[in-house]
Amino acid sequence: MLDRFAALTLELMDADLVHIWLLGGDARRLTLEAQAGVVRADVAIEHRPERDKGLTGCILAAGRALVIENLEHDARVWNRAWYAAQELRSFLGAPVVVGGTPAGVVACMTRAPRVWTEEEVETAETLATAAAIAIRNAQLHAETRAQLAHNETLLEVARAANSTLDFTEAMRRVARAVGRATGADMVGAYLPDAERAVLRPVAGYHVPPDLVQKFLDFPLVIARNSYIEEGWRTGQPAWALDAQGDDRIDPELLAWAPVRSIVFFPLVAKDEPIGALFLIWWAPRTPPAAAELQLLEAIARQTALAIGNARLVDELHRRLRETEVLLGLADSVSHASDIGEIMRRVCREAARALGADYGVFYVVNEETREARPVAGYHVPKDVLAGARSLPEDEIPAAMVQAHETGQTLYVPDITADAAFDTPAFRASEAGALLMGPVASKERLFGNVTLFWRAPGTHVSDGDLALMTAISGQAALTLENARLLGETQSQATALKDKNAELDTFVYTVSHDLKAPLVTIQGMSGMVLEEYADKLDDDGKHYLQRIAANTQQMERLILDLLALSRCGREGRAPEEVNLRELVDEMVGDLAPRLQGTTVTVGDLPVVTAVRVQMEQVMRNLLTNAIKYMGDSASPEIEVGMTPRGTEHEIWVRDTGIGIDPAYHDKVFEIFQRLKEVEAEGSGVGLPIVKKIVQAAGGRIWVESAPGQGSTFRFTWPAGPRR
Amino acid sequence: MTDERAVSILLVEDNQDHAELTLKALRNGPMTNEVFWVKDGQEALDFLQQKGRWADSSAAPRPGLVLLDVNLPKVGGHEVLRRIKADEGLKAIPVVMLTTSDREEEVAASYLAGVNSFVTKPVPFKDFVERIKSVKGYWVITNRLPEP
Repeated sequence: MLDRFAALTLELMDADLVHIWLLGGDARRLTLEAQAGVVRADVAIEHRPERDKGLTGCILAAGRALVIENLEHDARVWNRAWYAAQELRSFLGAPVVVGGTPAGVVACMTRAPRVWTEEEVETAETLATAAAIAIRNAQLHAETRAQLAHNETLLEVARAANSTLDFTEAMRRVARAVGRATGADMVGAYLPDAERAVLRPVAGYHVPPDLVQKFLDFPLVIARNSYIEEGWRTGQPAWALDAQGDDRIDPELLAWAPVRSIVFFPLVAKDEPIGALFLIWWAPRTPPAAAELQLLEAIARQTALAIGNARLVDELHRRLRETEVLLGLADSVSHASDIGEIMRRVCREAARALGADYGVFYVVNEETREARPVAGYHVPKDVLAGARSLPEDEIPAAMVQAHETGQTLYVPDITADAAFDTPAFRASEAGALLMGPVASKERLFGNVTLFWRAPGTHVSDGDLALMTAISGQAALTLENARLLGETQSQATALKDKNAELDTFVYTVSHDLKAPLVTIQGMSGMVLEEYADKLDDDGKHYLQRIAANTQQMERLILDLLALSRCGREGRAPEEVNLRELVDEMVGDLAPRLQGTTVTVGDLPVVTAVRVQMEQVMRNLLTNAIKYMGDSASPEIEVGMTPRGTEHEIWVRDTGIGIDPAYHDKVFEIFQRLKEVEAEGSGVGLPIVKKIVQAAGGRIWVESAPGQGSTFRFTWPAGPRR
Repeated sequence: MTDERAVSILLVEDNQDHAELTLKALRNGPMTNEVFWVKDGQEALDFLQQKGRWADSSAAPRPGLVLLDVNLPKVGGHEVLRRIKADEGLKAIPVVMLTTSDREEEVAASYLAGVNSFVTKPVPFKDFVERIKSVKGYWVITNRLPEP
């Protein structure tokens, strides 16, 4: 999986080599987990470096991305010999953060010098985040598999230990045994609900046929019967020898059936009541003998044991099923190619696991809160034909609330619930529904809703927990898919933009060169064929034409080279900036008439000469272009030493730039609209590219009418 | 043995100025080859296939060399090249691409399409004349061409 990630990163980042390093279990050494790109295998790399060494150490310590344009002289590089042998020049590394802790590094390296843009750094960080999520998912997957194996073993043990594992069957057997032993006219077996406030009937013995339905529909509310409450609290049987007229007993219970004597009989396992039996006589009876009480106690112990086992098995079954369903879902969605397919598979797995008739995935619009059906499983034809988006006011309040709280919602009978008596739900052909909101921490995607044709209790507490787990898993998967999609589309957009620019530059350079050939050719022919008819001035003018067209060709070639700046390098050299600027001011003299130009002390810098020329020429010509009608135009060039770097500035008294455009002027093809000046709109972006490639920064200080000062920094001393 | 001097050249160039300069350079020197100049890709194909206004075969003799600009109106240079090299009757004629572009992709694509030579037009006039002369020198004088 990480190999695939490395390959994807290599492609998206257009790098020559990608490494994915992860910290080992002791968190002290890194391991090279995956690698993509071409590498010289005969030069070995340290495969288990210590965590604080070198570039990966810097990234792990800082917890954020690190960009190095030139590895050659960077002091942070530790295994310099390896980088040199691999001929790697530039480096971009981002931390892989799992659960808030840096757990590794994704490193992209190129052999050509490379300017990493902010977007590329962001892309690398996003890729590292996606890698972290993938690693976490893989861990979860492994843990889930281990848990499954563990549960299976326990289940095997439980099966062997107890042959009566069916929960309801166990309770029925107990009720029968107790009824026979005590001679009770009827016995009911009860289990508490989740809140332990109500005891619900699960099995009965000798329940009169006309009372069966009533018996099943009549739960015992513990708080309403003080003698039940007492027995539940103490774990001891509670007797009511003549229930009629006993004020400890809920009158509703007496109205339910003509009961006379009752025993409430709690079943206790590990000091905690886990269920109860209710013994009923239709006639008054005498107090129980000691032997009868002993028997009841033995039965209670036996029953509690059986119930305890059955409960354990039931819980195991539930967890086993949950694990199986989630594993199935994870397997299923991990093969899905897009978000729609993931949603469809979530519907399918949920509907199959919970036995629903059909399932629908609704996407909820974050602004309008409208719910739009986007995927389904076994949706009936007529329902599908009538499917439409539900505006928020058509969604029942209970469902809206479930979205807000993230709670799973079960509605056993939507035909009996007025909130669901709307055209949309009448058309759903459904009697019951189960809705699981699909939401991550950041966003609500929507919900998975399962439908059953008939109303009724189709789901247990375990099913509700399962649905919650399924929708949680779905949210995680969708969030992953969304992140990955975003990363890919960003990277694609970036690539398109670069390709477009490349094409543009080639076309322009071709179109610009064609007239130059003509100008050169024609003036050359005049010089050759009419030399005898021209005086010295005429020849001089033609030579100037030739010299300037050659200069223009050089500029075009520079533009071309700069468009490839970062992919294709030229050798840096020592450049005397003072000489360069003086010469340039001389060349520009015709355009500087009336302008006071001051050139202060300037350093000798290490730079690619044509690039430094490009920087200074752009800044100077910009100062000239945007001078406006200043009464006493001035241009000043100077520097301020700043420790390890020089700050070089070009100040003018021109029209100035609104602070709103200070960033825009460095974007390609962005020109200030106020001024109709010549220029391609590529000048300052190229300057920025060159300065950033050298490890410097560039910015402008200006306001309308206040002139502009362009400042850039350049590393002092030999190039890094 | 063919008389090299009789070999005619077809120049395909839409830029009138460049055509003038190229013709000038071609006629410079001792050789006096017949040079035909057409301004777009369609006309070049018509000339080679003796169609349209070049239907008269005496007006459009089969050239011994084609000098082909890349950026042409109607049918582009690459397409003209592709059709020449796909035509059994024409593919033997050497084609030299002549362009101001030096884009790597363009050079590679031209050779893959079967171009015989790829020449960049230099900007300085002297270099331009020298390069055209050397193209002619090689393809018309040094190099042995197939029988027309």
